[in-house]
Amino acid sequence: MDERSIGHFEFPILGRAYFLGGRASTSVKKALREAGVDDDTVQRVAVACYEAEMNVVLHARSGYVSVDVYPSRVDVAISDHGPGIADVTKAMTPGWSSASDEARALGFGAGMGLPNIKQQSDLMSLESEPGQGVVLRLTFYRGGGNGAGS
Amino acid sequence: MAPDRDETTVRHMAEALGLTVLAGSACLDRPIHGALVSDLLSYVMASGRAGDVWITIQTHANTVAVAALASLAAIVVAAGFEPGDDTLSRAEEEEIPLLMSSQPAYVLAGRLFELGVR
Amino acid sequence: MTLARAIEIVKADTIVAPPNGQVELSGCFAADLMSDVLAFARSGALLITGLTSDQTVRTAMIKHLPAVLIIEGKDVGVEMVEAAREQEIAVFRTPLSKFEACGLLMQAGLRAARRSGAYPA
Repeated sequence: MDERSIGHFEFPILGRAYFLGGRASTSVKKALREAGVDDDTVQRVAVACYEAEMNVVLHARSGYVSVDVYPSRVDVAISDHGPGIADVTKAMTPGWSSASDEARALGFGAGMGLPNIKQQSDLMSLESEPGQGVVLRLTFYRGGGNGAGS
Repeated sequence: MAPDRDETTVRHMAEALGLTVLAGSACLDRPIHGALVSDLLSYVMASGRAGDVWITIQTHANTVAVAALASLAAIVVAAGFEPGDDTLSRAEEEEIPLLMSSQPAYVLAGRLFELGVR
Repeated sequence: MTLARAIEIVKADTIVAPPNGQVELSGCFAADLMSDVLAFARSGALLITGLTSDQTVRTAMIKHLPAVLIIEGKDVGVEMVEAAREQEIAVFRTPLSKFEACGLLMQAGLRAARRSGAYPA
């Protein structure tokens, strides 16, 4: 874990801006491709980022995604300012969701977001300060990993 | 047009498609008049017609409420998603056959279409 | 099956044309929940959906799905069209229901493009 970052990107996420949801993740995908990261890893990062980005869009006021590329892994942190998650264990349960009808109408909010993120990533940690926000940290090992993106 | 024959029932569909019956087994002789594939409850509320089979990956107990309101023939949960106990008991209560399959919605729709359901 | 053949089978019109002519589909994935697509779709598939938002297009882009088929002649907004052009995702629209579109495409031999597996416990 003492490798030096060989690429760093950050993209903002606007809460409640439904129509922009997914922009940060498509930017992450492009940036990782340009950085020469293998397709499988890019795919896994992009999927996890998209779910995490939609969580920010649907629940928080604002946030950003920060990506660090290392020779053997990609680290992603998605931080937001918002209500936080009251019960992290509950939020991780497939099918559980606190999303609004609006979110559901966008094809999200079916309680698959965090389980999806867990499935795509190799390491995941979720910290939440109720009333403050959420920090989600993800690690994806390059070339190999859990193969969930194939 | 499909040739004249007995109407497809929920039971016939379950056998032909290899579905597992989870709830509502007393109501399997209901005829099927059509089908819809959707994961949006609001869509089914708006477009579901009496006698339709609803193919979905939604497993929430609300799906049963929607199916009951729209007088659907049955709910088929696709892709190996498993409804919880609350959904099962709601289905028994509302007399909505609830079935499941490991097959994707696309395949279940295709095979139901093959049975002549339109 | 080629994308052009699939589109012909479901009598769809073109809203955003595919950027590079002939596309061979790996199969088909029918869904309204983008989380479902993100988790389980195989790349190269045609996505059949009732969800007409730019999220549909971005999901297709993330999962390498070359084309989206919108059902029931639903209105496709400017934002979705712009996102599709930007992300180079083809968009088509059929008057058929999702059930009918799936039925006809399965009958014509287009396979499912769903990865098996469920969520980690």
